[in-house]
Amino acid sequence: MSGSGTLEATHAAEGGRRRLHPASVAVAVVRSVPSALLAALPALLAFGARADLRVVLAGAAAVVLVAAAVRWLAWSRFTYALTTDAVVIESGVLGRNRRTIPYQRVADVGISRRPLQRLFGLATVSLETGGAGADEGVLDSVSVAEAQRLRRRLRGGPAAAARDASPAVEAGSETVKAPDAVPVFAMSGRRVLLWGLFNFSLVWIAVGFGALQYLDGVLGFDYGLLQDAVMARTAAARSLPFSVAAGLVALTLAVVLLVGVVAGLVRTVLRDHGYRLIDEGGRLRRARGLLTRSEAIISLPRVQLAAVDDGVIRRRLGWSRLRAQVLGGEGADGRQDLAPFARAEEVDGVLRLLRLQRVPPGGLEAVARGHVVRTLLRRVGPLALLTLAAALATPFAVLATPLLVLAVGSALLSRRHHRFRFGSDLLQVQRGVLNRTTWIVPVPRVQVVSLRRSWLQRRLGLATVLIDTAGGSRFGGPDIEDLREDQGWKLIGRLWR
Amino acid sequence: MSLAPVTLNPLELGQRTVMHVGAAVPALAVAAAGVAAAVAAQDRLGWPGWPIMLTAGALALWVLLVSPRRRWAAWGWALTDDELHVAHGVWTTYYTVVPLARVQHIDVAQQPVERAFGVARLVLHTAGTSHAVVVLPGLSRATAEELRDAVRAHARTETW
Repeated sequence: MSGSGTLEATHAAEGGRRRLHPASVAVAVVRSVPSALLAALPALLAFGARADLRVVLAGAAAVVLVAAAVRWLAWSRFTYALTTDAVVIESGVLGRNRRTIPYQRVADVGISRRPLQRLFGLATVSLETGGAGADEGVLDSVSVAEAQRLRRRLRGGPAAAARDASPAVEAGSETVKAPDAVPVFAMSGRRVLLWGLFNFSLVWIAVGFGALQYLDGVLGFDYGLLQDAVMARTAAARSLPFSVAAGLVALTLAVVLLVGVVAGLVRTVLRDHGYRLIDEGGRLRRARGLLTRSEAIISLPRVQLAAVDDGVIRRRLGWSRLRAQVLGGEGADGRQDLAPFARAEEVDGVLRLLRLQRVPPGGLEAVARGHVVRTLLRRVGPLALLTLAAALATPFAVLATPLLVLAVGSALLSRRHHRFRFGSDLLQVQRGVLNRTTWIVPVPRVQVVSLRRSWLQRRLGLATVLIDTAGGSRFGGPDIEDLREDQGWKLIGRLWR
Repeated sequence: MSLAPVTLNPLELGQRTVMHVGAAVPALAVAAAGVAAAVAAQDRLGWPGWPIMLTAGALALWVLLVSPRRRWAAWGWALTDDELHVAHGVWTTYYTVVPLARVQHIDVAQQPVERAFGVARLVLHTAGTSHAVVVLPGLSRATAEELRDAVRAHARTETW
């Protein structure tokens, strides 16, 4: 390895570069035997019956030997070292990789021992950082004594302390409030029922504007099955007289709607009955649920951003939902409900607790006009082509025209609803015509920012700003689409200044 | 890139060669597909095969010779006091800014071809979601290590 000398030269390594425990080669080979046998099973079945047993055994031995050689090569090319400020792991037989994990970033050191490892007195050490991946640094395997040495060395360091004392959403004076039993947000039984009706309304919108919703990228649930069912009914109805067919369709729709209402109500009451959000100073405790009472703690320093969303009807009636994106949250997707069904002032109250504040849509700036052009091309274009193609096959495709009109309407309105504001330390982005989401992101929480310009965007003088935060879902972040190019450059050029 | 906040450094020339080498397989595939299509057209349909072959040949040459150059030229990077700026992309261009303080860990990687032409790849891992990993290829080994040490220094001084 040509550059291996620089490691010692530039950083005085404590104890130099180390290899994994030699026995880990044996463990790895034994571990790979079951899968190797499974892979060789077809060959064994094909030749095993005819061939000599000795030939079969020799073949198996050869496979094991080759596997051992490969493992040994990988082992001999894997080293790790503790330098003055980082763990350095070098690996790779052909392609080489040198990973540097600064001590400051080591959040957790895990030691695990599987049965086979116990036999050899080995342990796997896994280093975790705040990185998006799962295992940022894995040492498989070292001796138990070495594992404990590593843990002592890495845990005692500044990393754990730094992480524990990581600043709150807005760094600075952290005044610990006295635990307060009065909830900052709670929902009465009536409100939960009303909220349940709106959970149904999503289904209703989905049945009506399914395709539109799909294009809007707000897939909250699986309504594909529902659509299939409706399709099947309509297909069967074609051979019937029109009035009967229409009646059947109406009946099916009514049943679907009723099921939607009941399912939404039941689900919501089960989940959100007795909803209470309690301020415990530095963290929020959320309790909810009818049969299973679930409690969750949301640590304020771990809150990455807040998202307020509402549907078109909820918005008219003045209701919205507040969620927080939490790093390493208890929830699977990191999005935690704070106030599922709340009035604007209640949302603002909880936001204040997070040291965030939002600006009304009027105070936000709309993206460039070209956004409408691009939205039309991207959302209406494919739908129009699809309808046209369907029209060639069946005249029923005309039924899709209202959908097309809706899509055009939504595209025309897209710019009105896609707004942003870039404050000194807060970024607010609002997007979505039917289902609208407003993200409020503290600038220090932005991990990476990118300016993306497609061919068309460059022709139109537009740019998309991609804002990446921790703990989010893969789609639907606080990205700003199609703002003026110069604004985009300005934004990414001085986001952190 | 006139509006870019900083002037960018190009990648090492060696990376261009690496990209040409990497384009060899797709170019061969295009050429092979062209030959197959030409033979099939001649045999089954009785069409002349040479226009297809010519088109495929031109396309293969473009994939092999022109496209890697364009991609190479689109790359650029710059290190400011506390950020790394990376630009890439031909049809859709990206300009990415990573604050060094957000970097969780860093890889310096080298595939055999990259090693042969004296370049290395810097991979920055952040805590983000969809663009959490920022890759900067085509650095000299020394530059890659310099950049890594700059990031490392930030990790030491700044608590996350």
